[in-house]
Amino acid sequence: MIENIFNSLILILQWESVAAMVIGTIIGMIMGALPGVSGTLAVALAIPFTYELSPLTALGLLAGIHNGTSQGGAIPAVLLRIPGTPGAICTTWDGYPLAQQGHAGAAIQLSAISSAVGGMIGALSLVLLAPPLASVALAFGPAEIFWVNVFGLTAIAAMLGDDILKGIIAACFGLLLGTIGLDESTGMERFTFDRIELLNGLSMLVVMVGLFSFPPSWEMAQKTVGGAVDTFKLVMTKGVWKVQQVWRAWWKSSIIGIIIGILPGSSISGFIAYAEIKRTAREPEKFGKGSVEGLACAECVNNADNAASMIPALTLGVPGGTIAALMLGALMIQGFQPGPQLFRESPQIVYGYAWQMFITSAMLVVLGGVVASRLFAHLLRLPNVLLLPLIIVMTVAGSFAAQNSMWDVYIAFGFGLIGLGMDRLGLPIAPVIIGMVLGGKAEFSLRVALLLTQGDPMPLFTRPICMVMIALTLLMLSYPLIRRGVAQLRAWFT
Amino acid sequence: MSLRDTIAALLGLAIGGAFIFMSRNIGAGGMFPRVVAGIMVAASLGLLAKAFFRPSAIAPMNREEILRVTASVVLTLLYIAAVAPLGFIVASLIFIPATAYTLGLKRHIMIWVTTVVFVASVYLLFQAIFGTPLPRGLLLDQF
Repeated sequence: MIENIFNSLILILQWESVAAMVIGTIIGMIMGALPGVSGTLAVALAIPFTYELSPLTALGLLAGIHNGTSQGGAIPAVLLRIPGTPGAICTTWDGYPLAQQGHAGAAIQLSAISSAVGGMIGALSLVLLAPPLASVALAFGPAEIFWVNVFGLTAIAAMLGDDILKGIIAACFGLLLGTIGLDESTGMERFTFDRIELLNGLSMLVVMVGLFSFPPSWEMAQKTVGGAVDTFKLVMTKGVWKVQQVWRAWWKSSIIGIIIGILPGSSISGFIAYAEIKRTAREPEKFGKGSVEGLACAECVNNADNAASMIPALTLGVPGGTIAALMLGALMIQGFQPGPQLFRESPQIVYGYAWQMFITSAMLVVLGGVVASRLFAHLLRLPNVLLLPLIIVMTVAGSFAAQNSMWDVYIAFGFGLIGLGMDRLGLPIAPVIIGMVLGGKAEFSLRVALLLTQGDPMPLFTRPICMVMIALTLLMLSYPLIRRGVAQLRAWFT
Repeated sequence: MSLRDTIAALLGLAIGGAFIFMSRNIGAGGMFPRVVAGIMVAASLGLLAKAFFRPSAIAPMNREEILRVTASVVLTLLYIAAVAPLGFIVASLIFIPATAYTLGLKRHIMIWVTTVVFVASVYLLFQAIFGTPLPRGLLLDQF
């Protein structure tokens, strides 16, 4: 393991990988700074560009974008009280009041350093926690792998939306989309409608780009022109915060981010960490009014769970969130099969990616400081209605470039419409893509498991690990009931 | 009753039902899609029942918002239809300003400078760095 860690460090320090990390981090920060452009959209837009790149260069670019958007989202959050990304909501609570008090520069500097600290600790957790988990997962047979996939999908369906039934419908839709094309086991065509383009199934890249890029762009048209023009002057005032004030918030929120980030479908780490840091703070009354601890916690936890969400993705093939699902898609496009075998067959990819998450986090200190923020602040003046067609043009170019085919552009547009419709109907989009990612593997594992038991389904329910995974799946299915019960109890006590 | 949840449930029923119907002649390969489609149908029925008893709340768009989103979708459709015959550069040079003006932006210099710089950058990025030619259009293809 130690040898692999050092070998992968040498590999990722080659100039192509370093350039990809720098470019990715800058692009991520720029996109994260644009209100309405989430990390998911930024990664989805970038994936077509990785098609032609070597695996570690591609992963370096995506790692930079992933970490960069998390930090970039803090810039409009601090300057305008607009969270550039959903993860930056807690950043607005203390970042904006600090800016109002004339400390915008210090607030952005603190957010950049906190993001870097969280990202580096998260990357270390990936190196330390993923290999033992992968070793355990290597002992899993097809039946266990099937149930791990079912659990992952259920967790995403239960936790990423407001309604578990809608989550299940979306996940099933994704699983069904994944069955289109030639059946790997029997060689028979499934749902191809005699279209030669569908024989190899729907391109995951095109579906991802369509679902995640078109709908948020079109929804930008909802708002009238306007634009964020009044930004604070980024004057750098010293002594606003000290490391002694925030180091407790850093390590506590990092640990919370890692623990919650590992759980599939969890997107609440920021709120939990903020509540915990406020509860144990020396001056909790300052939270929400410009607390440096609050801001440090909000930004640190955001980046800590970036790498942590990749732990279940890389070890079990079960993505911890939407961006992790996109990353799995990118790995599969590069020809890798995420899961415990990845650690044995391509350790340089896993450890190289962990290094890239670490290094791109460290880059945030340099690239995310006040000087860079001054440049990015100008981007906030770009009106949404101009940003919209720019994203569409990128999406069309990216979908076309996947296979030099207009067919892919039409498919991406179709999925864009489906995504928009799902959004308006309150159906979550992420389970669709996660269903597509996990579907093939789940089906293959199920069929091999049944083959091994000569068609007898009972061992699928009676093996110990299967039973644990079934229990966890049932727990996830009852999660909305538990959540409602807890809320009612809390209301009753207060 | 929630109209949105009802529509979502009916769509789920239709898609699940269609996959069950289509997978009847695939043999062993039809087992997995049938099971998944069955779960989808069951979840849709659950959602349909829930739509009657406990509707979920989603903020509706107002008339202007619907018009603006529809306009951007239609413009995107026209743009995609124009890429093959006109080529990526020409279609994009028309699409970006057309969308910005349609949605109410009137800052001409910002629109045109951004458009030209952006389209040129994207084209060069794909053409020169990734070596992936974007559509040239029917006219340029003659040369």
